[in-house]
Parts: sequence; C-alpha cells; structure tokens
Amino acid sequence: MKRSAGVFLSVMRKAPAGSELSVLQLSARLGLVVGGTTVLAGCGEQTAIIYKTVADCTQDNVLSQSQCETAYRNARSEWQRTAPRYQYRRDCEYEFGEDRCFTQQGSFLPGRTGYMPVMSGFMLGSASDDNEWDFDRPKPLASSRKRRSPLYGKWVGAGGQVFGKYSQRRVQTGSSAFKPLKGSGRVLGRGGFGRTVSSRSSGS
Amino acid sequence: MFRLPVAERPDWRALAVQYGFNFHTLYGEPYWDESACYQFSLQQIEEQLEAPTAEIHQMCLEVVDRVVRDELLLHRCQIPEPFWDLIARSWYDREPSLYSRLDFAYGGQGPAKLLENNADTPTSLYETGFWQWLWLEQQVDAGVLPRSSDQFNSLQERLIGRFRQLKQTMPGHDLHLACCKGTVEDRGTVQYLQDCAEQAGILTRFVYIEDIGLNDRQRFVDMAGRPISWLFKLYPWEFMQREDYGANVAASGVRFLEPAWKTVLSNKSLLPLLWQYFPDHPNLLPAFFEGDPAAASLTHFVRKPIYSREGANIQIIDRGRVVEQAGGPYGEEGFIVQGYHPLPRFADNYTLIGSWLVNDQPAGISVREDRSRITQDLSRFLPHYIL
Repeated sequence: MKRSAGVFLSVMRKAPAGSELSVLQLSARLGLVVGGTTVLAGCGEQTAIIYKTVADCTQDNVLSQSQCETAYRNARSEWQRTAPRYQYRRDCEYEFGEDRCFTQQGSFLPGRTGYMPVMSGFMLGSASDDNEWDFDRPKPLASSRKRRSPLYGKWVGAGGQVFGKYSQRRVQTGSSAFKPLKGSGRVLGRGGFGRTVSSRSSGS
Repeated sequence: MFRLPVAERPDWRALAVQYGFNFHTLYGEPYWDESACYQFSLQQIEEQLEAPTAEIHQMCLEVVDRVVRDELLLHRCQIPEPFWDLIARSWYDREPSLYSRLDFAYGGQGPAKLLENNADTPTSLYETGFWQWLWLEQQVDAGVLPRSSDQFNSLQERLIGRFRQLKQTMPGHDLHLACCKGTVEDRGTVQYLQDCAEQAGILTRFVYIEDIGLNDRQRFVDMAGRPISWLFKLYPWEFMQREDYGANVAASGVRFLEPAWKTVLSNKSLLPLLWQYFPDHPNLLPAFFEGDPAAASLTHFVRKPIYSREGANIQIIDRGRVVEQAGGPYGEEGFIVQGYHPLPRFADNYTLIGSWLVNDQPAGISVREDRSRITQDLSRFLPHYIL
C-alpha cells in the first residue's frame, strides 16, 4: 500500500458531525462553566523545585540534561545581574556567612571592587504544560550560613525573598516569584518579522 | 496517467466544515476540485516519480554541501553574508529537516522533469496528506472507485513518524508554529502540522509571524511572553534574513524547522547548480544563471527570479520573444534561465505534479491544474489514485 494506514479520523475532526455547535458545546470547548462556579486551588500558588547543581537537576529530569544545563547557566547570569551587592566583604559575610561571598569588579561602585553572595541553587516553577518544570525561567537562589542572620538555613532570592528551608527541595511559592527582576526577560518589542509579506500566502 | 471525470461526494462540503478544511474555495474560485481525478499506474508512481524524487533530493543535498563551503557560490545564490555562518553551522550540525516538495512536469510518459524545489515553505500539505486520502477512502467505500485502488500518499503517517523522531532531539521542548496573518491557507497548513505534531506527543503553541517578539535576553517570544526554543515557521528564510529580526536569529538559540540550510534549496540558483553538477540527468532541465554564456544555448526557456514564490515574475521566452509572463514583486536578486519543457495538457488544463518528501523519504504526490502554463496560486488541486 502506498498510502497512510493509520489515519485517525476522530483526531482530525474539528467539529462534530452534522450539526452546528450548540451554546453548551461551545462553552464546554472553551472551558467555560455553565451554571456553576469553579474553585481554584491555592490561587496563584504553585509548587517549585530547587536544585543545588546541574547533576541534582539531571537526576530528576533524565531526559532534560541540556535543559538543566541551560537553566543553570541562565540562573548564573541572572544572578550576576540581580544578586545583592555590597561595598564591603564584611557586610556580605554578615548576611551570608564566611566564604560565601565573591568579589566582582564594579558590582557596587563603578571601578571599585564589590561583593556578592554566591549562587547556591536554582529554582524551577511548575510548567503550564506537559513538562513538569519550567526550565525557561530559572530563579537563582543563595543560602545563608550565618547563624545570626534572619536568612540562616533558608533559600533566598536576589530580591531578598525567602523560599523555604535550605533542607527543602519542593517549596510552595506564588507565581510572582518568577517575575523577572530589574526588567530581565522583558519583551522589548514585536513585529520584527513579517514585513515582506503581510497578507498573501508565503507558502509555495 | 489519465484524467477522468468522477462523481463528487455529495456531502463533501459539509465534511470540509467538519474537518476544518476552510480553503477549498479561494478568491471565489474552486481550489479543491473533485469533479475529476487522475489515475496512475503503480509503475508510473514507483519508477517515474518516487525513485527520481529520492534521487533528486540527494542531489540537492550535494548542492547544499558544496554551496555552504564556497563563498563564491553563496554570493551567486544571493544569500546575505551575515547568514553564511548560521547556514553552514546548521548544515554541519545536520539540523534535521521536516519536509519539502519537488515540482515536476510529468504526463505519464518519459522522465519527469524537475521544475523547482519548494524546500522551505511548501503548502498544499493538508489537502495532500489528509483530504485527498479521505476522498480515496470514501470513493472506494461508495463503490465509485474499484476496491483495489490505492494512492501515493503516506504523507500524514510519515509526518507523524518524523515528529516522533524530532521530539527525541528536543526533549521537554514545546514546538511553536508560526505563519502570517490573513491567510486561511497558511493557517490551515500550520494547523495540520500542529495536529501531526500533537499526535506524535509534542506540545504545540501557535504564534503569528508578525506577533513574534524579542525579549531582553535575546530570545524570541510568543504573545504570552514565553520564550520560543523550537519553531516551525511557514515563512521563507530569505524574507526573515532581510527583516529587522534577521540579525537576532543567530543569538536566539532557536531550533528552526525548516533548518537554515534550506535557504540554499529554496533558491532558484539550485537549478543551474544541479545542471552543472549533474549534467544531462534525465530528470533535470538545462539551467543556467542569466548572463552565463552557456545560457545562449537555450532558445526557448523560462526566466525565473532567484527568489520568487507561487510562479510570480516568471517569463516564458521563445526566440527572444516573451510568450507568457506572470507579474509580481520579485527579481531584484537576479534571474536564472531554465530550458522550456511544456507542462502536459489534460482536457484544457496544464498539469503539475508535486512530489513530497518527509525528511529524505518520498511520501506522496499532489496534482495541480492551471489554465495557464505558469502554475500560480489560483491553480486547482485534484485528487489521484493508483490502479
């Protein structure tokens, strides 16, 4: 046979046979609820997962090694941009602990050495689709080993938010946790494609 | 190969609504036409269409392999210099392709002659892979066609199979699909590919080409601001490369379908290069770059812009006289000439065979008819069967 054998007609059908869509059917297709209410579980809350290393991430997501690597790299560069900065080492270590800070030229004052805490993990939110985790928007996190610090033993974001204990891997968080800081991930514009053809077919 | 009148399915328009085939009538003219159909023999299909399709595709890949390594050829193909690296890299990395369509002049006898290769943005996919398949099944069930009828059309099966393979190369990634606004035909083609990809277990998202945005991490995004990592674009590379976001393609990290190396194949420069590397191949027509002294050997020829679509800006020239031409916006990148080979005529129609490949496997044919010798976007699609 020179033709396809397994074509599933039910999958290819876009509308029910023989009838116009009724309002009820239409509502059902659009996910509207007719004559009832829905209760959203934990409005805006989602489960997020925190990995300390790429290996940690890969162990959980065997098929997504490259995504783990990319997420880690992106978290790193996001951290470089957004992590808290200190003028003096002692201030940084006061919050995060000895040997938990690194120097970065120009990070606090232009031309001067500044200090930032090291990134010690990255957090992935729940994906809105089949993937379990959203690798596209990793959130870099630090942790503090300074007993006196209110951040001690906790996961903390660049903006200072606390996301749970350092011993925790799964945490509950609001979706705003993944909102980009300092405008990162902001859409700068649209419409850079499509000028050549606006209304006629571009197929051939 | 015959053209036969055949009874239309009485309810096909209602079926079209059910199955979402929204472009069977275009610009007020019938596009899908099942008042007639074409009959082929199995030998015609296998020896004269299927085998040459596979062979020519391999020859085309050979051309890509030579062009990406040769600056002179990249210049001749009018490929913008900033994209040479991107194209070469996509080729050396063997970035996977999805599909393409070779157009042949073939009337049942003698070798099919390659007219061009639609390697980047071929359309008429849904009507080939699904709609004419459904026509055959139903016409056989209705007793209009003999039980033993078959069709050269494994397109849908192969597309789904190919998407399954591609899914393995992009684990965890959603596939974005994009086409231009305002064309029901392109949207239909993309919807069909979405259906096939979903059946292969890929999660798909649609975005219009014009709505694609750029974020401050140099990534392309959809309307929801989600970064695009894997994009099927029913939009030609040669346009993208010349538009504002063209410069952002390399840094975007997007895996494209079709891959960037298809720029070389969707370019009419392919035709003179094929003729140069495989002279006198039975399925090729002599072709030259315009201005090449060797082009003087052609007295009756077709002049085609290096970049053009849907038959636009094509002229048929016989002993220095333009005997037929189609208008359009193309041609600024130069022209090629190709020996004239008449399309076969059936009834009052000029008939063109589109021969499909999924990756490098022949996958079926579509038959289009036009009243003019230059097949354009007002041509009609007719189903076929093998007996």
